[in-house]
Amino acid sequence: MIPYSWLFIGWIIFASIFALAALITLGTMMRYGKSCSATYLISGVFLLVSLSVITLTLSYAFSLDLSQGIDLSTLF
Amino acid sequence: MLDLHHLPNAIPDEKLVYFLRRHPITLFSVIVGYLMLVTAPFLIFSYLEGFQPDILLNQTFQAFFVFGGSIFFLFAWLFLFQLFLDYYLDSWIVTTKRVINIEQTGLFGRTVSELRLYRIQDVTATVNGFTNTMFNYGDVQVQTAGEVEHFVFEQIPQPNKVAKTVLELSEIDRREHLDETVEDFAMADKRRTTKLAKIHQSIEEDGV
Repeated sequence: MIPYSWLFIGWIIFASIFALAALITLGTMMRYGKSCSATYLISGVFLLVSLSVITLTLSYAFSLDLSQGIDLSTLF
Repeated sequence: MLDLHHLPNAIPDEKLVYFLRRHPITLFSVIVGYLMLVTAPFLIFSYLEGFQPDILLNQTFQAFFVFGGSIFFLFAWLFLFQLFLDYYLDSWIVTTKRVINIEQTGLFGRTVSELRLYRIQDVTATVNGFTNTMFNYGDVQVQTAGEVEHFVFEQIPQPNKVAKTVLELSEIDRREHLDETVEDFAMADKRRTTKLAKIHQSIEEDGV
């Protein structure tokens, strides 16, 4: 059976791709955005929500026994 | 960052008049669509909690839902932010000396065009459609005497007021730069005269 750790590794790969794209996007915003509080606020909201979702997912992942296998038969 | 008090290639005695973006209503329909996409995992969770709670107790389903749902949400959130960025970084700046058009294309494309006010020949404001009329937004087309034939301020608020102000500012600037204005019109006239001469020549040669 496939262990939960494989699912977690797959999630990490996609989350890394997201982090890279988010970094580039935030960089563009900071570089070309108007110098005012709205720019910082909008970027802050984006970062806060993204980090919250990542943190919640990580906390769920650490609550799992990652060595346990995925039993797909229970889904059907 | 774009500092409105220190614009690039600043001209002496230049003052900011307008900093314009597209009207926020232009984002409305797209943002509503993307917000529905972003909240889809939560809606599915609420549905399952209400109508099929047993499936949520299945650990395998839980793991797929949490990992898959979080990735889906993160990328939808990123696309929403990029959509907003495209709106936020497009702008038109009107000062007492020039008009600056800043256009962001995706993440890696940016075009900045500048036009001196004394080169402006004509300004046209257009408001077309129900929502445009209700929320008073539209296009302002600025016709020039230069290489770039026209600038377009797209879907900006109060286009008639902006057009009137740009026209007034261009008249003031033209008085201050009379020599350059005459030279511009003379050059345009010379180009037109040369073109007419060529047309006459071709007519005589063809005997039409």
